[in-house]
Amino acid sequence: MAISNPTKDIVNTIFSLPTIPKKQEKSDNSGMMSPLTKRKNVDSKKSKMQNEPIYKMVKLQQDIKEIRMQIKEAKNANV
Amino acid sequence: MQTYEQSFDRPIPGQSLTAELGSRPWQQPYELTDVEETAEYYIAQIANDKFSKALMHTMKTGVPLTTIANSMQLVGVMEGKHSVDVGILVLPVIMETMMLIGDSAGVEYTTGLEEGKELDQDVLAAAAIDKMINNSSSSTQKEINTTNEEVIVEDKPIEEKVSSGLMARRV
Repeated sequence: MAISNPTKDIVNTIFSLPTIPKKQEKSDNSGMMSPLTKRKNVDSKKSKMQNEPIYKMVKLQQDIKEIRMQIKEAKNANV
Repeated sequence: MQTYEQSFDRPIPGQSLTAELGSRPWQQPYELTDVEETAEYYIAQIANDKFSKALMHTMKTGVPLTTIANSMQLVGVMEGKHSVDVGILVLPVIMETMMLIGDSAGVEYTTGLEEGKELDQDVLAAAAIDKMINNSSSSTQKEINTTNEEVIVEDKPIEEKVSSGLMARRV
């Protein structure tokens, strides 16, 4: 009887997700046009998806992965 | 026709009712209810020196990271730290952190996600036992070699004692 491995399935699915693009740095609204371009209630415009626990976990996992890849590359470059 | 092996390694019916309700840690309100908090808890735990050394040793034995991560989160559930669903959500982060530890230490590890490599517990156990036997046999061989040397040293010809007393007699 084949034993299913839910851990493997879940982790495989999350690892295969596309990389979440990083946020673009917003301007600090300090120019002459700042009163016009200033956004109000930025948090309320934040998509609901970003508040989902799975989104937060995927983002955290991808951040750690990025650090891991940097370490790996640095090690390979030294060798 | 599919047949199922009967397993005796499971709780007997009604066993869950033998303890008073709320007496177990997992029946209490969870300590960590947020996924971010839980992830931080596990990252801190893995980054601990003592734990990371033990983890690297386990990685070297060939135990897949999925198995370690799953065990960790199950223990968390058992101790009443978090719920099962939070544990499942945190799994990829635990795995990635362990991979980070392994890569930075230069340890080769098995993720358990490799295609075509089914996680057959029997095969895994057999491989671990083989590895242990090989290690122990090499150390035993070393011991045998050293004892042989000692024996060789001990095998020096015994000098005959020359009896030189009044009552001495020749044999």
